[in-house]
Amino acid sequence: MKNRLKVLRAERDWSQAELAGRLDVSRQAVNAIETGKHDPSLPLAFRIARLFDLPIEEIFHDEH
Amino acid sequence: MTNIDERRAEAGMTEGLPMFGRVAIGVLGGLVLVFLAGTAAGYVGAMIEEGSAAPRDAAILGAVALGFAGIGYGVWRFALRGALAEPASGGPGERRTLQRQRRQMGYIALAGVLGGLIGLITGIFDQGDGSLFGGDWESLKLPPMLALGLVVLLIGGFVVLPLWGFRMIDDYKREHNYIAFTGGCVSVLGGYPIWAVLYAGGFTPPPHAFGIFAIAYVSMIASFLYARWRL
Repeated sequence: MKNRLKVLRAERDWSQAELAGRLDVSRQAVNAIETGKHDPSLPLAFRIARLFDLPIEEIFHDEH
Repeated sequence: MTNIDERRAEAGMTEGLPMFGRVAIGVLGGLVLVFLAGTAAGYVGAMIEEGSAAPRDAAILGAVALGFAGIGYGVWRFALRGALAEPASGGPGERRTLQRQRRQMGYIALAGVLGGLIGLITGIFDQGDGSLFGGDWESLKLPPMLALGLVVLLIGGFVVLPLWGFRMIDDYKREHNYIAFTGGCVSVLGGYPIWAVLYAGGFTPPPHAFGIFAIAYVSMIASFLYARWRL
């Protein structure tokens, strides 16, 4: 699954550690999501959407 | 002064590979410290039983103590100090990340202390000639009350700490741990009958409990490392 997390983070000038802290996950989890190695759980996807004040589908895209 | 790379921090890579490296150094250093503590305990136990201290034993103990101090300093210098340092920029998210890292370091330190304590107590108060590694169970001997105390510590180390750890980590790291535990479990389910069949065919010694435990432990670590690096 592709996502715009890295772009959204960069727009706010946040480090991965900053975003990880705001989402209450590890920095490694943020890095894995950004690089497409890991798909977040539904609760985490909702937390990400709330943090950026965007609908989930504007952050995450199905590759098919 | 911190060891945080400003350019990496600006690129959002504040705690990338260096953090993983620090954790690896911390874990490896902790294991070496436990090993050295166990070695020292074994020597002290042997010296007490013999009732005298040969110069060679004193020299070995001194070397072990020096090694302990050196490894301890290295773990502090390269694993703990950097993790406990303040971040380059102090946003609320980075502060929470730093708190998370401190909690995890505390967890690793507690696990190391618990493991060292169990090894030290066992090394000092072991009264028998048995070998856990060789399956020589009949000759293992500990004072009964001490054995019960060790049971409490082992429950803490092998049951409470892992379950507590699962509550501390996020989904991503929990997935790694699920893979690790699955790898350990599958290896035992497959490993025991395979070992038994190999014994029946005359290829190996008979299966024994510590061997099965070692299969589970090694497979679990290997599965975790696979998950950590490949997923």
